[in-house]
Amino acid sequence: MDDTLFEFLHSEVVNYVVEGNNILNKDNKDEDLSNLEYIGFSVGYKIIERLTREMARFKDELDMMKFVCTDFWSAIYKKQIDNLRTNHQGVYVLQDNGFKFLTKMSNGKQYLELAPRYVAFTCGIIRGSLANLGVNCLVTAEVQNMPACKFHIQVQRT
Amino acid sequence: MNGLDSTDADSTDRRPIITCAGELEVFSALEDSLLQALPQEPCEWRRSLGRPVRNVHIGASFIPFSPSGLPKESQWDLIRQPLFHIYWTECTDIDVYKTTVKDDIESWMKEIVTRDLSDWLIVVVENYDGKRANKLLPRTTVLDKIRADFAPKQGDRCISVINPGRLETRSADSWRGLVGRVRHLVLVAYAKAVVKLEDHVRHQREKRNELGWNFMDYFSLQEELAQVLEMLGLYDEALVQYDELDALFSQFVVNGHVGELAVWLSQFQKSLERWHGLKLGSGKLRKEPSLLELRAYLFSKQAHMLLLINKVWEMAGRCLPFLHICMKELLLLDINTPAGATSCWLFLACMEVLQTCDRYNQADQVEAYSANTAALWAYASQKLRELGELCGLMPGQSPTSEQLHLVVGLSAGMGDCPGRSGESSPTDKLKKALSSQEAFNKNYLELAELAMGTYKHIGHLRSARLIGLEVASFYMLLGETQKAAAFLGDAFRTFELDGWQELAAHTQIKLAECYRKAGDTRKFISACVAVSVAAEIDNLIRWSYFDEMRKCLETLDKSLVVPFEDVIKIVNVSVKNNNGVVMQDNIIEVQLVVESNFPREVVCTNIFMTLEPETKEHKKSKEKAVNSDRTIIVKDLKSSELLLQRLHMQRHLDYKEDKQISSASVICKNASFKRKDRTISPQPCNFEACLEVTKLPSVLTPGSNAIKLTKKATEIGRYYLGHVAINVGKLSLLSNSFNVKLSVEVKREEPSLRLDKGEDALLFGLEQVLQLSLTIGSYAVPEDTTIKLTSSRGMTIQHIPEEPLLSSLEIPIKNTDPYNVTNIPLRVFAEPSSSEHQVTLICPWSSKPVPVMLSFNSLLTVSWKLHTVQHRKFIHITVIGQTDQKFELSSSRLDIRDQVKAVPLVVADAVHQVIHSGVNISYVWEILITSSVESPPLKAQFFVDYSAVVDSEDSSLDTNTRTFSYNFDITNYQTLYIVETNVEPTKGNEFCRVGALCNLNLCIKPASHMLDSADVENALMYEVLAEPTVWAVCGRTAGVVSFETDMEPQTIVLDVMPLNNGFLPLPLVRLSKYIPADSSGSDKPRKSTETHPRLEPFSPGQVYNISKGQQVHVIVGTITEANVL
Amino acid sequence: MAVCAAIIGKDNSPKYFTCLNPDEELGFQYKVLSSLDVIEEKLNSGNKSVSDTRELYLGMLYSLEKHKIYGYVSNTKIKFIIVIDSTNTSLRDNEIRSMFRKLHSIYADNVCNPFYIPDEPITSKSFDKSVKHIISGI
Repeated sequence: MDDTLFEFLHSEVVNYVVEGNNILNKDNKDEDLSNLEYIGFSVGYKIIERLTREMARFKDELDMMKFVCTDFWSAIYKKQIDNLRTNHQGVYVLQDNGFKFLTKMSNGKQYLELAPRYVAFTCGIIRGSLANLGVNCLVTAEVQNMPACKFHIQVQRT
Repeated sequence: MNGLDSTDADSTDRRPIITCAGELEVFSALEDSLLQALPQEPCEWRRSLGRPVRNVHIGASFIPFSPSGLPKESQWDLIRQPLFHIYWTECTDIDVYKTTVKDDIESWMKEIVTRDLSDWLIVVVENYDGKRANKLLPRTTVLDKIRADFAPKQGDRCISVINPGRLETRSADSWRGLVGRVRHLVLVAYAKAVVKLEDHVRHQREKRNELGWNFMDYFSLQEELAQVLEMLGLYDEALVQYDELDALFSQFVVNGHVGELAVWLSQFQKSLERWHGLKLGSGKLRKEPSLLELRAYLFSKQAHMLLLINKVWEMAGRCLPFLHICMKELLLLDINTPAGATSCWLFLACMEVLQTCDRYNQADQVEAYSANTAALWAYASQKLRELGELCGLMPGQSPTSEQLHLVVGLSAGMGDCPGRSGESSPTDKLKKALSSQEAFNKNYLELAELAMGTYKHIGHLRSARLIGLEVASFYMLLGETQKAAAFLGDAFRTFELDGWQELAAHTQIKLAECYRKAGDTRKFISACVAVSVAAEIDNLIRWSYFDEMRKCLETLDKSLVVPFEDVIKIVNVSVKNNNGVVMQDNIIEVQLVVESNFPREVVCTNIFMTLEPETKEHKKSKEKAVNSDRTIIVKDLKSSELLLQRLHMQRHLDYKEDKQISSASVICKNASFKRKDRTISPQPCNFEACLEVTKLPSVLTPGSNAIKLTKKATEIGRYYLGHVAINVGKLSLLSNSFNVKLSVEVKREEPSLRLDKGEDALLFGLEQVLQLSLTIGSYAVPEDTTIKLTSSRGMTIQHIPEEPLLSSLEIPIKNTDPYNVTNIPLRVFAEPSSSEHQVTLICPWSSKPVPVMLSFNSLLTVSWKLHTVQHRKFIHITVIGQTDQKFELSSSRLDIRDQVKAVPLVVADAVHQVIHSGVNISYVWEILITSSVESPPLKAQFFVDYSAVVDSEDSSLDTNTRTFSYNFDITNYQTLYIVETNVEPTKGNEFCRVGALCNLNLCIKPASHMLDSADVENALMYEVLAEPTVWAVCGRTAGVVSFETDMEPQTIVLDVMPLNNGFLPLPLVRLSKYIPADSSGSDKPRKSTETHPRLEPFSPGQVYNISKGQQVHVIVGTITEANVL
Repeated sequence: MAVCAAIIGKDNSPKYFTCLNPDEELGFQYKVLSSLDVIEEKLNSGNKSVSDTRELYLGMLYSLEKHKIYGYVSNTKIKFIIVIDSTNTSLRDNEIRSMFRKLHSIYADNVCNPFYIPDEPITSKSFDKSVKHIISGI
């Protein structure tokens, strides 16, 4: 039940934010998703405190990424990330073959251009969570074939 | 015999004791070799209960066998007892054996067996020599015999050995055999004993809660076990025994605290009488030890084991918890301790351990070493300081006699403890330190420095800073404020960095006191400011420092700059001027909202905000940092946390070549992960141009304050708000430069000059007035400024009434005040017929002349027309009024040069005619020409005088009478042909009837002067242009006639048919010049290419139609008379 | 029963501090502050003994004559510190560990408080009450 509620709430948040954007800015080509991402960021920053409460301390960055792929993803999306790849230099690619917010849409190209709206929040969640774990990073996402989605995490070393 | 009497030797020298019986001289020969050989190789110790196999080196010390020295039942001091027994014999002769040796062995064996000992060995030493070696061996040897007699089942308890002194290979092997056997059997003996002892210990421990059980008894029992293990080289296992004892004791104390105290524990509750220094290594436990003595002994044993297994740092690491436990137990057991006693003891213990560590220190282990010793140094210095305070040794104190007594007492309690070779022992050190203030100071500071240094070395900066605080207070007492300030400053910065505001604030108080003592007023004030604004501090304290700050400020001679930081918080800055634009000489107004953290009101003598002129950097960073709003708020002023940064995310779509979308992404646009550099310290700033508060003094109340800052804008340009400075007397609080830049733009309005054309159109030929209006801008122009006007040719201007009009003017400006408007009436006159003009305005404030385009219209328009009657010619001139203004016309005349006379047909100018828009006036002249003579083209000029008709009010109007002229040319005006037409009924008919053919007679007469003209075209074309609804032309409608040879009139008859009845206008006939197609050889080359004949019309007046306007009467059906009008 | 508990943020500044006896707070602040040295050391020595440091509970950080200081660091680098009176002999390691778990738990709850801004000092009264409840060991 809370799943459904989460999905509904998320889609309403998307609608709300996108509508707000449209009032401000008619130019839709590079739709601004900053607000959605930041909402996700705040949520991620807070939720991670709870999700890692009973966890052992992370060994390293990769350990955190594995956590994001498994326990974290399960907690939020009731499934795990399907594939995690890394270049061992701070770039991680997380692939979800059936990303929750995209599974309810048509699989064709019809809604592909709207997909970014539905993944931006999650980019933020990942970034927020990792930020609170002390990893400063940039999270972007790419959708080619719905409902699969690739999240790119780029760790910023300063 | 070596070591035989060394039962009380140091435990490190302890070795298993082995008794020797039999032929001792045989053994004596072997003793040294055996002592050496035994510990050389390890022996495996396999144990029960799954404990790991250990390799043990077995040493030994030999004593002569004596029945009284043998262990008895329930005697557990294993290390002081012989557990293994060897019988030595050299006997090789069976007979000798049977007679003497056997009995001896029997009695020896009896002693052993009766005591239930089973660990023995009989060694037969064989002395071979070369000869005997070749001999056949006897059938049975003494060894066999002994085996048979004494150890029928334990063959390994009897062994023969070839005297190793002979240096033969066989002897070496047998020697190894002996050594191995002894090792093994000794170990077996000990293993057995240990197991037994362990059982006993366990058993005893189980009884620990029984009445009458005594810890000290148990202690010595388990220590026995530890000592055996130590003796066997199993130091770690020995340590375990001591650790168990340690834990057991602790448990008793804890239990005693919570529940009932064990009886035996009460013996430890005696008041503390001795606090001898801890001594690692050797040392024996007193008979009735105090708690500290027991603890110290236990720790020294543990330390000893740790040192033996080379765990020096663990030993150091255990020290502090051990000391803490001691203190805790003193407390739990409620043991009475003389003042300072425990401090002494703790100090000595720390120092002993530290000294030991120092001895074992190795360069590559400094890190591990420091990690464990730092806290010990700190503890030692703390304890020494406690003693110093207790004994009146602190700087500034002088010991009372009581305190002197105390020192004596404490020293006595420490006992004497000489240090190792030349080194002074901790006890010596402490005694010395307590002996004088100087020594104490030196020692304390040394220790504290060591503690800090060690902490810093292992990266425990905070711990080092805390000691620094202690040291600072010590230096304060010493009066060395500079050193104290340095330590306090370090601590303060560390607290600030970590964000522990309360600690930082308390350190500020200490700093303030330090500066007060040092007499550094400026720094004292700074510190007072910091204390007074610290919310963490109690208000009373804040007030008192605030008051002191104010008092001290009065004594300052130079101003003191203190950064804003926590003192004043900028909440909001906003530019109040519209859009941040200010006109020059107006007031720039900025509102600043600050939060004062002072606990009371402060009276500001001045508040400034700097204005920085725009620089290149400003322009560069414009996009990023400059706020387009006119306000900055707290949020903008805070440097944003990098980790919590908001990112600019947006959608990005990728397309395939076929324009189909291939992927949709979320990307980031501004991934700038570089920290924006913050300007921490206030930069030197320029207060030459700044906003100020006008109403002074201004009072800042605690909390939020809105401050209005103003400045008259003198120089134009863009300015950025820089710093804020709030001066409270000599105290100058200075803010950082805003990291978000607010700008103010100062502009000025230039004077403007306008020339108004007015509503009505301008007319040439008439003087009119335009308005020249001059508006001075936002600043005053110089007094002697003039403006210059130049008009184009044909136009003149003047601003002074009655003065003649000129082509250029210079007008001085009379009123030069800002925003003053001067209207100057400018008289202008454009010469007639010149319509486009311009006036150029040249102003000193503008480098560019301003042209004003003016277009003038005519007040009259004139047209003319030629009228012809046969050969007479009339000129008809129409004058049309164009303006609402009325003009009076007079003296009209027509001048024709070439001596042709013109005669007016109307009586002219008898009355003045008034003309205005919508009124036409016509004049007609006949020009008198001779029809028979060809007339030349004429140039005609029409003149009429005009003057404005003055209405009652408009007096400014120009009423001068001027002459209007109109020139025109009259050409091709002479009549060349006269055309006459009529329509007649066909012959036999009386009337023209509808539908009946009639004759159209056309007669063309050339003028007589044509003969002289060479130029006249002599072929003509006529065309009948009949109204198609009225006339039907039957047959020819056009034709060409030629007058090549003569000028006789020619008549042409055409057929026409009337279509209506009544009086019909005659069909029109048009004549045109006819130019044939083949006029080759003509003198007009442009026509040579013509392939068709052409027509050219005649000019008006060249052809006169005499019948124009005539009508013919046409009747219907019946015959009526033709009625030609 | 603990005599003092503190929550220290990522940036090492105190976010929450409470003492049984408010008069002793300043002294405890010094003690807790210096325990950060040990925490840093323990966290940084990370790889040496993996099994040890992977537990959020760090055990006793250091002891003083009168107090023992225990530490616990969350994955988000929030440090929880508890000070125990060293004469308090009844408290076992496990009990201290569970005290920390409870603290962490209410901290995580507090983060979900919509009015709480992460990394700001905690001023919630109900949070304060809960902490006091936990450290009093009831």
